[in-house]
Amino acid sequence: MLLIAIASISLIVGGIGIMNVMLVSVTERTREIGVRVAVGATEEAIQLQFLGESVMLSLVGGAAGVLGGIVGSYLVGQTLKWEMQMSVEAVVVAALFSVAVGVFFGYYPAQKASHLDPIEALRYE
Amino acid sequence: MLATNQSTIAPITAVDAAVICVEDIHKYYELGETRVHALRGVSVAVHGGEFVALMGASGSGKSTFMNILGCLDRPGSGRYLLEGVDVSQHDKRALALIRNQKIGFVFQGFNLLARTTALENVELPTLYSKVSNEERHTRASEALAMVGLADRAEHFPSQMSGGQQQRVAVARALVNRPSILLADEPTGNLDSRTSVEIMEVFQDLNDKGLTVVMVTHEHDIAEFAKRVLVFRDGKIRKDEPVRNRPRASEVLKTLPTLED
Repeated sequence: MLLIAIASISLIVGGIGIMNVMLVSVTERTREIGVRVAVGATEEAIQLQFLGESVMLSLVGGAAGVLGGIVGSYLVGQTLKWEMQMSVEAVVVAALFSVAVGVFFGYYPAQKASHLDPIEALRYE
Repeated sequence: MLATNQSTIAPITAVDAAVICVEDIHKYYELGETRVHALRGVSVAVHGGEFVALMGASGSGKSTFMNILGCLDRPGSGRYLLEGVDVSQHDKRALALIRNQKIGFVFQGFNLLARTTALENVELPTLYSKVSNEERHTRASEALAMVGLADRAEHFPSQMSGGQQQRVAVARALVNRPSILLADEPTGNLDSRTSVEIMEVFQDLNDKGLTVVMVTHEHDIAEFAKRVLVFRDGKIRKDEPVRNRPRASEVLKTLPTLED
């Protein structure tokens, strides 16, 4: 129960981190979004781009977590002379959670990017 | 001089057909409790193969008009026919498709993506159209060759001069073979010689049949167009052809080069 609570809080904190990074990215790339819309990107295309970037970010985080888990387990196993067992299910669940976190916390920044007024975005300094 | 590659120029519209036909368009903006009347009944037709310069002071309505021509904004009332199709009531998705297929944009600040090469910048509009990777690459290379930058394809914007960056922006505008090229103060960030070089590019493209509409504050630059529209208080106050239009290529011979 304690482990689930810690994992949940970590997920939420990590997710908020992703959302912040994506919101900063949307602000920094306002002109780029304006140009993309001007050359024909639809709202859906912009949304998909930023959602994709958010998922990539969370997947990299997930992969780092899995790698950290494997290395940690190995070190603990070596130290305490325990046999190490890899659970494929746990890796798959971690990857799925990463994608879910990316989609959930990337949704708002992606929405914000896709709803920018292209005229204002092109003038953004 | 520009490479003469005719094959990639936009399908040339019949010279007599009105590519742009604007009928009595009005545009209002609500600024708090104030209602700003940006356009007060503008009507104009631009035919295939024309090169039009829009002039006017800040707040005269020319930028609003340009945004409507570029399908980035819709008129409050009136009609805008692009190649005979009324686009004034199109939804956002349809307007995005028109911007992608029929309109090429060139901006004052170039607006290139800093972390991508010239070639990738030119490819950008094709990412939003159904074009194969091979075709995308070919078209972008041809567009860069057309503006004389075939040898700069792998350079990043930071490795190019302002004039070269603007040429890349022109190539990006041409890559989907649009019907019209819209340029919003394309020489605003450039020195005199580079400005005339960009006008040379525009005149060459226009000679090949591309319709060009350009906003400019500079009379010298407007002279390179075939026709000048002057905006004031949301209306077109003057619409006249340019007499004794200079050829940019000739003017360039009289201007000092960087080495001089």
